[in-house]
Amino acid sequence: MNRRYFLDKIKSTTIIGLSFPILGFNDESFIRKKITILHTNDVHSHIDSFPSDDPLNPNGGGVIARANIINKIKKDNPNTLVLDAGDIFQGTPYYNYFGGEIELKLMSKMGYNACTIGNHEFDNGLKKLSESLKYANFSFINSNYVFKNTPIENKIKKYEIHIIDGIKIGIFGLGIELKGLVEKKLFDGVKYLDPIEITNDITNKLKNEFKCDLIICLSHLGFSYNKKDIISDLILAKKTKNIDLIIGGHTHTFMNKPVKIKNLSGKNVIINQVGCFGINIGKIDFYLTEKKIVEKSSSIKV
Amino acid sequence: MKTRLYINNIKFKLIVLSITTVFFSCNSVDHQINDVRYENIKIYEPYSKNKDLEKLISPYREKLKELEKVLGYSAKSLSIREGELESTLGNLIADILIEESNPVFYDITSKNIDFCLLNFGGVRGSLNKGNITQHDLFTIMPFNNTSTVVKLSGKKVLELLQYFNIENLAHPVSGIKVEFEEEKLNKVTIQNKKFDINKTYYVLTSNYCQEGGDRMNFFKNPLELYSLNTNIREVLINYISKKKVIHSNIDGRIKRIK
Repeated sequence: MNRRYFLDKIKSTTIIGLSFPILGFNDESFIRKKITILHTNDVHSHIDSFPSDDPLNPNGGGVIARANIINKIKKDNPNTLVLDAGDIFQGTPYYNYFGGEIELKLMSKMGYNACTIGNHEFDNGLKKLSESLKYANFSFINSNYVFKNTPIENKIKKYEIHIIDGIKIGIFGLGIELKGLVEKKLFDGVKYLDPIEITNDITNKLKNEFKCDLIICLSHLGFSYNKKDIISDLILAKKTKNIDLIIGGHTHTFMNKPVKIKNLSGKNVIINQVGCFGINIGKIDFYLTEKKIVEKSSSIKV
Repeated sequence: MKTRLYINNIKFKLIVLSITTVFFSCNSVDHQINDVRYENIKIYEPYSKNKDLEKLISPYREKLKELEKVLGYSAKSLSIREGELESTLGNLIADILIEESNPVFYDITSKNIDFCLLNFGGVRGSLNKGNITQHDLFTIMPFNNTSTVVKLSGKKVLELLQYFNIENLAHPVSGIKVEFEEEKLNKVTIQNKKFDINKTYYVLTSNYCQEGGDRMNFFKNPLELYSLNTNIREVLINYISKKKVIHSNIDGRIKRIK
């Protein structure tokens, strides 16, 4: 039965393979697809909108408004991913009192797909962070911290692949060096690895092994620094290959629009960051063309 | 028999291999990005409703209501961001912390604290003019940092002063007066006395900074270390409840002449 199926397959492909050289080597058909990426960063437990008398952002932000915007955009394009670049926690009494429970429950309800870990996620220590993760129905992704023998071992993904409308989207995450930024006892046992080396390893895997069409880095490294020896999103983009989009955080950088940087192989990397406290949400639409290819070379082997 | 089977196997593998190649190549799908559009959207919908989420938030919000109790009053809005190297909110916090911590420190050591330095990043947001609630204090000082006193050599204090050249931010200070001319230290007085590099000083800070947080490495491995173990936010809450009305100004305690 199987054999019969395979033989049929050979016949038909051979015919296609042989018939096409007349028209050209490959048959290509194009279908345009749209993937929407929505993203936040450094929300810092801002659940309520700012009060009406706030000098900087009167009535700005708030999860209710954010949820409604996300729903509206998802209605327009169901092929949407919702992501966060870390520092979900710390900044309002909601975190001091409930340890991250409500932030993660709300993000789950809002339909977040994945986030990375910011330095403030460690503010209550690893054990409390581990306990709070049960409130999230989305993934925590980090690629450059080693959590072996810590309470969150096996709870954090190194990378994740989402297939939406046939498009493979690889997501990985990068965290900032915690030494000197977070109290030692709060991240005891967590090892930090060089973000560039890890990026090369993981994106190579995502691109060449898993054939991802789109590679997104959720970064909590920070957009850029005066000191050139501190790794930032700008440096990461320039010194690596394969990343299509860096969603940044940590530096609370309000960008009017994303920046485009040429990577090591001369291809564009988009970097975007939307400030902090849930005042803004980033929306990036990728339009991709699907190419179905029938190659002549393989069919002739048969 | 064995040999034959082996040959057969090879043949079979070859067939399968070529078939799979064909199978995949016919169906290979390749996606290419050919356009990217973007929009950073301001979240501003003051009247938007979402019953589902409101139901989820309301019990938590209810529990936080106790934080709305008024502790005191501020005659004007105070922020960490209004000055260059000092700020009204930073001055207030550092002044309160040194005033409240010194008696505790004196009880333990019979010494006085010389000055206080905290980190800019430890103070968030601003205090609006008018009533001050406990909620406001959680917002401006969300971290559970505790007060710590270190004994530093004059050399380390000099390193501490140079820190304002690396991190040009309004880190809260009290008990010290510093004037920079560009990056050069012009005048430094500590408790109204000229800074002496050959002396040692007792510096009040947070456990976070003492560990070298925000690259304050001069606080690491001090000559002496005293953990006062009081939560800095609690110190502020107690002080404001006691004093009721608070004032703070930019007074030129730390400035740069250009």
